[in-house]
Amino acid sequence: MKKGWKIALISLGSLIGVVIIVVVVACWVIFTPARLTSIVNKLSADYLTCENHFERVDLTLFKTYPNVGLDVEDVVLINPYTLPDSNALAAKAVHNDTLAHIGSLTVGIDLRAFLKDRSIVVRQVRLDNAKANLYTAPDGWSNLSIFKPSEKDSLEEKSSSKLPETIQLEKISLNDLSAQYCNLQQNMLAQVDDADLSLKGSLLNSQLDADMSLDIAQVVVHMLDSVGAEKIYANLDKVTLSFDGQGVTDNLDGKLKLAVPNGDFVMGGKRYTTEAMQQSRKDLLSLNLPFHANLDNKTFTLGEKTELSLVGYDLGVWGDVALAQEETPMNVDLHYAVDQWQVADLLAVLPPFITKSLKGMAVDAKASIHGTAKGVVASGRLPLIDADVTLEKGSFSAPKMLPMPVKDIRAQLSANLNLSSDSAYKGPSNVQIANFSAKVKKTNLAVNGVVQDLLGDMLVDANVKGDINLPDLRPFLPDTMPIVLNGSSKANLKVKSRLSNLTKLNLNKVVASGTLYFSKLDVLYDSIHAASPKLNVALSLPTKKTSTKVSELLGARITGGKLNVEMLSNGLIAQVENPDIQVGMPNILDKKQAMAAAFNIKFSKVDAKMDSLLVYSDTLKLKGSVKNDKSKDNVLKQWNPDVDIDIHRGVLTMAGMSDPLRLTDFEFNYKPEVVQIAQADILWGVSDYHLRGKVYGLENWLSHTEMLTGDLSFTSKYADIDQLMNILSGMGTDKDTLAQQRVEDNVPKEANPFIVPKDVDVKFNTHINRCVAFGNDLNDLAGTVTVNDGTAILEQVGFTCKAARMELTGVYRSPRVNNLFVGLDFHLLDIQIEELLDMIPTIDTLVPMLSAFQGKANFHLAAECNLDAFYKPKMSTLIGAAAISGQDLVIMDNASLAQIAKLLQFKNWREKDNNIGVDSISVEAQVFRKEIIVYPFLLNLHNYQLCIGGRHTLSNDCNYHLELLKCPLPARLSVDVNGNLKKPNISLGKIQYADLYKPEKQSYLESRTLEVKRLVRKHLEANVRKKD
Amino acid sequence: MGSLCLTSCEPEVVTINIDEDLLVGTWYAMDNTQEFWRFDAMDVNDSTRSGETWDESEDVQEGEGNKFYWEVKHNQLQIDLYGEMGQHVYYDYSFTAQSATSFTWKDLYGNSRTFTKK
Repeated sequence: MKKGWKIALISLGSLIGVVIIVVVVACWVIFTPARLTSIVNKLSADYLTCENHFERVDLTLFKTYPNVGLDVEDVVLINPYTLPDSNALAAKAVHNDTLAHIGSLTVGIDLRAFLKDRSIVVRQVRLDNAKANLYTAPDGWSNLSIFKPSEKDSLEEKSSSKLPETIQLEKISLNDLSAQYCNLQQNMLAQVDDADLSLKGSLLNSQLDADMSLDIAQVVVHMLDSVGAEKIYANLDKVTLSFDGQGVTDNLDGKLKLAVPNGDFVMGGKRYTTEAMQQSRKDLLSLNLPFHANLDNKTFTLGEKTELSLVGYDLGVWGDVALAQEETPMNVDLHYAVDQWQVADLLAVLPPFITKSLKGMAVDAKASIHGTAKGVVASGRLPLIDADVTLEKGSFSAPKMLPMPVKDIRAQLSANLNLSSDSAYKGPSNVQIANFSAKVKKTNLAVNGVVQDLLGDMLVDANVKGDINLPDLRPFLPDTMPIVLNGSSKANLKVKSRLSNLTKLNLNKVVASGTLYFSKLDVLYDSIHAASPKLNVALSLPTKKTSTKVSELLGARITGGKLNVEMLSNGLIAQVENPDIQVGMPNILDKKQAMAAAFNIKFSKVDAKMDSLLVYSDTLKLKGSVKNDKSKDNVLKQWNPDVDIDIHRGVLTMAGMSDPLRLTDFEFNYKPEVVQIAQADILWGVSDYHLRGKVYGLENWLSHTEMLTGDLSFTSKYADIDQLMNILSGMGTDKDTLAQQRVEDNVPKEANPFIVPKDVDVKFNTHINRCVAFGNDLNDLAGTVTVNDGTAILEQVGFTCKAARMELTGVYRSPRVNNLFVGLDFHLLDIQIEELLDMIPTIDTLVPMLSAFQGKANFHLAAECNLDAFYKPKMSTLIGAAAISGQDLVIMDNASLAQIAKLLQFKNWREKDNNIGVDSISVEAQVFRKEIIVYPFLLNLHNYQLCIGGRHTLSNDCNYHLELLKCPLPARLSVDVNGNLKKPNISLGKIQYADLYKPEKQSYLESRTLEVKRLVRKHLEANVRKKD
Repeated sequence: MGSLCLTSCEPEVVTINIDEDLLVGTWYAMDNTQEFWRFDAMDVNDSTRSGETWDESEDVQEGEGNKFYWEVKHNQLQIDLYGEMGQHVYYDYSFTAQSATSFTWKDLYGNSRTFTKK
């Protein structure tokens, strides 16, 4: 391009030179226009190689007064050429063989200088209505090559010489100039339409004084790259340029003004102008540049009033610019200032490729920026830019990034930018946020801090203070998170993170800490509702690991005065005081991770309610973890807890409980597979219970898939077993099933038997100092109680009562409300017989003659019977065996005994104290339904040995036989006791037991009788516990 | 059984040989009770014969009654009722009549009862 203009200027200069020569000749030889015209046309052939024509040449004094002038009209230069067909740029150019057509050219020459020293001094040049068509072919040929070589060389020599030392131009004016410059060698096409130039100036002894103005109606420029793609396209309308400068070349002051009201500009395929720019009433581009220059060393100082304006957006720039020289790159030291730009309006007029990163966002603010740009401008190097930014009345909306718009943005930022791409000069770009405040709905946020790596993935290190309206947070949480938030919070947080991690909510790469001070908090998460008038939450991200079961990332410590919690799924309502809740959770925003938490929770007071269950505790501590699995079918399984629970001074009441349950100390660990009770000290009514041990499968039991199993130590100083049975009755059995059974079996409402819990297999190793059971006071009760799927088993329970040391193995089942089952394996050791009978009167029915004895005996009984709903025995199912043995007993004298003794002719069978001593007895008996059979047993009374056996019924019908086996007399006597047992008929009987104890003479039935008798006792005594 | 001497001393009632096969089945007492006795056939696995007795007048149904083993020895029906607590109760009966539809037994004290097949 430079070369083209150079050629054009040289050509113009040459033309002016020819004209001047012509004028001179004309002045001296020919003064008439005809002659002058003729001469010029003839002379042009000596200088010009192209076809040319000068229509009229004349001298003038008036137009150029006080200078003499040459006036030339209608100059035509024609130099044909052909545009290549396949050239994209040629296709845009207007083809014309006319190189130039000048409507009018007037040149004014200083006549006095000419007359004085014959020097030609041009004072004025005026060119009107000129059209030019300059063309350079791809091979470098130009249609400007119109001068003959000698002339041309001469002209080039003159033109290429350096500027004359003295130039004084009163005026140069070009009016209505239109030109096309097409250079296919450099792939450039420029078209200028209706240009007016005015230039005045002088250059005297290096002192320059110039005043220039240029108005162009339209400028169109195309520049293509090597493959024909458009590199630059500009179409500018009504361009005005003015320059006013004075001074010497190394100390030049001037002012440059440029205005481009409208136009279109494309570079590198990107359109820099937009419809909005073109429709704006403001100039597309304007420049007001006062400057001071040193042209010798190519340095410029831009004045402080320099203004660059783009569609009305003013940028003030001032400072120093040193252009690149041979060994030094360009260097700038500039200040710039932007005042109150309306960002949204600016973004609206900027081209889309600049604002594309803001697609989907609405950004606005009043922006004021001032700063500096200092440093080298070279390939890969750009100056360091400092910027102080003030934003006011800003807003930001990006629905895909932020669910709600941010308003009232105010900010004061200081940025340091290093934009160099050369790695040797790259450096950090940071922003110091002095303050930033914004509002999201009713939430106010204030931020200060530093943003590093501004041009990359920003590293934010900020302090955030907020006044948060909690409902405003909901849209920022995942839609799938079932949470409703209400209340407000003041926040004081510190955050350090890459911006990408914040926008992607990649919490595992965010470092944050701080405290939220909640007021009137009300949160509903899934089915859990929590509310507190005042609550503080200290957050840490990442948090310290406290659990091996939860990948803790987010830590929180919640403290406050009161906290109300409600679980809507099961109706639990709880109020706690002074909560101190430490929670560690994984990335709660990671949808792939199950909700989990490790926690350490302390409450000073708990008041909870679920259905009829009321719980109160002075102290409640929970430490452990939960992990959610929604596929599970009950609450415990869904949360999979592993938790240590410590309740101190708790109270529990529920419907049907006569007395509240007081948990003095209750410490246990709950795991999905096992509940381990470390200490459970419970007071209930007048009873105290102390539990230790393990319970297994609580979760599966609650979901009715498995039995609850357990092995517990159960101790008590005093226990009301009846009360305990009442509360446990029916546990695990469907209430509807029980009700249906009652209807089917016609069970009266008054009947309320103990229904053994079902789906339960729990073993209690009991030791109860004193208890009341079925109205009996028992002491030192110890043994194993097992509740196994509807069956309660008392195994080897040993205890002492006022009568004896006892051992009891009992079985109780409740398959039907009206068909209960009770089985006993009962041992009374060292028993006072009369107390035994007092304690269990039924024994008198079983062994009627026992009431005649006094002293200690051992009693063994194994029996079972079904019961109806009132615990009344169903005698048709009664089946039992008993054995009684004793030594050194005393027989109480009574009428029946006296009658028997008389019949058997007892003499001297009483002791000296008149008592009837018995060395020993060993009785075995059986009961089935209503019949009791006493196997034959021996009774040694001093010098007599009796064998007694027989049967009786519950209706007291009896058939007993007493036979003397040894006596001082030789006779063998026996008596029969028949009839009603209470008033029996006693009479002498026949001998029956003569061979019973003589193995050699025994019959089959006699031997079978003794064998059964032996087996009965053996089986019964085998269950007696060995004494420790 | 305890007072075995009564039978040995008063054998005035004629006893018959007991047919074990005829005994298999469920029988109910002909004395205005709702007492049932079920005698099961021999278990081929352990060569035992078992059975159950229940009384529906007390709302005890089959399956809820008392279990027993039975065998015929020395022409006596020996019943060994056993309970869950380990206790055993023994009864010996002689038969005075037996058919496919009824039988009459007599205990060691001379008490007789007649049963009809269900």
